[in-house]
Amino acid sequence: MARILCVEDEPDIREEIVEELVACGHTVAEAPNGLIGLQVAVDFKPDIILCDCLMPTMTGPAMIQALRERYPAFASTPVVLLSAYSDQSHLDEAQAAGATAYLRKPMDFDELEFVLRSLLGEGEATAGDDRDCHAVPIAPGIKT
Amino acid sequence: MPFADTRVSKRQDKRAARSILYWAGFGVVMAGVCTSVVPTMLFFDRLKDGAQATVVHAVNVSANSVGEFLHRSEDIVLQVTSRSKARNLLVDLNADGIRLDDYRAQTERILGDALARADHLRGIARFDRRQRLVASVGEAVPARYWPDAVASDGAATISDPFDHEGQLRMAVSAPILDAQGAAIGVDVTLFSLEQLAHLLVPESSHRYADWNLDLFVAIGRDAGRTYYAPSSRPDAPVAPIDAMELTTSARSLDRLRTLQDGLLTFDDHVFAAMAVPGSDWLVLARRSTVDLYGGVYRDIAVSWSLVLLLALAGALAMFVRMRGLTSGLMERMVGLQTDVEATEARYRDLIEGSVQGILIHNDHRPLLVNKAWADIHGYTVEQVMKLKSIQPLIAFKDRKRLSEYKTARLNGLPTPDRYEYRAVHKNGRFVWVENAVRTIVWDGELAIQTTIVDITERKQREATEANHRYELEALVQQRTMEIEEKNRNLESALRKEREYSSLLDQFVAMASHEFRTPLTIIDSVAQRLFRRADSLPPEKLKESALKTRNAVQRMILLIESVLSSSSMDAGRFKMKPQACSLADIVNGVCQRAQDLSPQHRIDVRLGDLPEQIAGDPHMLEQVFSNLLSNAVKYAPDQPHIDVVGFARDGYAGIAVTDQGVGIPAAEQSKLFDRFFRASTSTGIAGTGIGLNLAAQVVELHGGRIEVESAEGRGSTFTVYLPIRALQSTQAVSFNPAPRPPAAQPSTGSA
Repeated sequence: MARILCVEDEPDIREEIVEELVACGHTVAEAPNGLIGLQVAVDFKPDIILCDCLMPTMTGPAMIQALRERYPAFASTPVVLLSAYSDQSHLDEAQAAGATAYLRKPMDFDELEFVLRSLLGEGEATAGDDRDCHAVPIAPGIKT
Repeated sequence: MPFADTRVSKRQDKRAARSILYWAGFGVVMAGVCTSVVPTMLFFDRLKDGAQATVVHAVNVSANSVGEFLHRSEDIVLQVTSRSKARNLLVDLNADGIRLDDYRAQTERILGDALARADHLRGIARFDRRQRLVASVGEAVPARYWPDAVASDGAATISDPFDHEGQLRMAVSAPILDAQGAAIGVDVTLFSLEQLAHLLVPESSHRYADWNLDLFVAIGRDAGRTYYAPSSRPDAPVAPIDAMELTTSARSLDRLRTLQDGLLTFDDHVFAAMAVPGSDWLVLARRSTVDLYGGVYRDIAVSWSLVLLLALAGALAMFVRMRGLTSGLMERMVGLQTDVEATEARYRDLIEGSVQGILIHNDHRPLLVNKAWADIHGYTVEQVMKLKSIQPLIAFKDRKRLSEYKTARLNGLPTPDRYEYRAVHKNGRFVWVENAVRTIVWDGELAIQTTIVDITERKQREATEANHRYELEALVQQRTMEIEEKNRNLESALRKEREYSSLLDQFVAMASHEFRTPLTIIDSVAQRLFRRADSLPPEKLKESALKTRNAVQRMILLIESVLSSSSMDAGRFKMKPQACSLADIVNGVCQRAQDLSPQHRIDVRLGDLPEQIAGDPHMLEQVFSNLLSNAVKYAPDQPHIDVVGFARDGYAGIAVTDQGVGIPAAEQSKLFDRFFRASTSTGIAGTGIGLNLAAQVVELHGGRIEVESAEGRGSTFTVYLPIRALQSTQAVSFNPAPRPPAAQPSTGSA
């Protein structure tokens, strides 16, 4: 199982995600905004980062950009961006910041699990999977 | 009435007579000039041709200036290198080291000037005590004359004529004396016999009677006798002067002596007089009595002939002119005698019948006026002629201007020939007239003829046209301004519309985000319940239900806020005022905010608030709910929030203070605009309608919201709600309506 960092400013959402991930067997750390998220990431060294988009103090894209630029260790760490935004401009912003995948809120936990597994290289996305997949892979090589 | 015709003829006659007089006068003056000036000029010219005057002049110059020079240069040793040399040289032995050349140049310059003006040769020599020649300057003078000159011992001597370079010459030697009267040098001048009459001693004068001079007189005293020597007659004896028939007056002789030189008349004869330096002798020279006077008389005769010719010509011209004039005058007189009445009648008819008003006046005193002029002013011709001055018939406002014109005109200054003015009609009204003016002579005096035309109608028309034009221009200007105003308004509206549109886009994105967040909570809880139904403990189920309810509540608030804002914006909002406790509302809102955000510490002090105010509690709740949620939202890391209630100046005030991100000063004015979000709100969810809604609600209640904020240090929003004004509103429209339970916010049922 993986080490996952969840950065989300909305406590109720964060709590649900963290509990679900723990229930799935992951080791999870959490942070309420991007700035704290950065510090936790350095300490926690997650395999994957789950990150909200709009957060006070430091937004998700800003955190991803800082992570990619300042910490070489995280240069290739997959980051899944969660956002309540649904328009293209935010997707572009996430891509430019260096997000690996983008999930729209409200997100499907099955889908989240699927994306996590894909990124961890554990499970294969089957072509016949008929789930309505909201994941939008951004990083090359993780196309579905 | 007499007319100008006869007068004009008389004047012409006068002028002709005057011109004849001028001619005659001119002839006389010319004759005078010719008789006096022309012969005199000729006479002087003749004298100048002779050498006498020049010689006189030259002698005086040389004796003084050159002698003075040598006298002062005692300390300079001058030597003559050779007495035989034609031109003397100055040899430098100057102890002071002054260059010879300087002296020579100086000496030669002085002498050169004198010599250049002299038609004869001269030289100056200096001798030592033993009468040896020490120095000499100037033109060559035969050396043999030097010792003779020195030996003369203070008196001037005149040598015998001698041959010098092929011409007969005489030398006059005058000694140069020092301060003590001792001779230190000699001034020798050679005179040619051809050039002038020269110095004679009485004894020798007769010997040189062949000097080619008509008359040569030497006057002098020698042993108490006075001599003269007439020339022209070779053998004429020297006779005592008293035997001569010129004059014998001793007084005249004295005068001759003191004159020294110059021209003088002597018994109707003109002489050149010359004093012999250092001697008692005065020389008078006259060239040719006969020729001289003969020439003068001839000249005078010529002059008089000219005068006569001129006078004759003048007389002829006068005669011809007079004849022409007389005949013309005669003809005219005859014509006038027959035509004068017809002419007068014609002129009278022309003036009287003219539609233009004609007035001739002298300093405003009417001399002639026609009917048209009188009619324009509403008078009869007789009435006008009785006036002493026509000035009262000029509008007061124009009098000064016209008076200035008149003065300028009479002084010959440029004035307009045509101008307009207001005449005063008999009935007191103004009549605009155009006036053409000219200066004329009337009865021998300067007078002014004015010709006027009534232009009142034209003036009125012009005034009307001008008014129309002004009105039209004003209208155009007004329309232009209106259009410009409209354009500005349109531009402004368009700009606002664009800004609003941009804000709206932002709002739509944010609203979507804001709706999705509580939905995400609900959906997450639901998914988890579904996925982990078996494993979740009962308290977790409870918590899930609570989370769901809170999320739903949040959505409802959001929906209400959007709807309120929308209806407020569309003007559909109807306020339902009722008595409500502001303290209760604020307390409730703060409690909920505290429940929702346990990490913040909300400090509420509402002691000073009035018991009740009239308002819409539901809307007021939205207002404070917005302020509190903002305080929490925009101060995520600064937990301290103050809520203070007070009453002041008839207003109830609630101040909500946080220590959050604050609002930049430049953006504070836009803060209450719909959808506007401050730049410091980056990363914080919000729709931009909360404060706008709050401001509108408070405004509807007759209050206001004020904001104080510093970027990075926090903000204070203060709501002022009127206490009295709302009480009166309350009395009128108190109509409590039961609030729908759906809108009742859960009081944080944790």
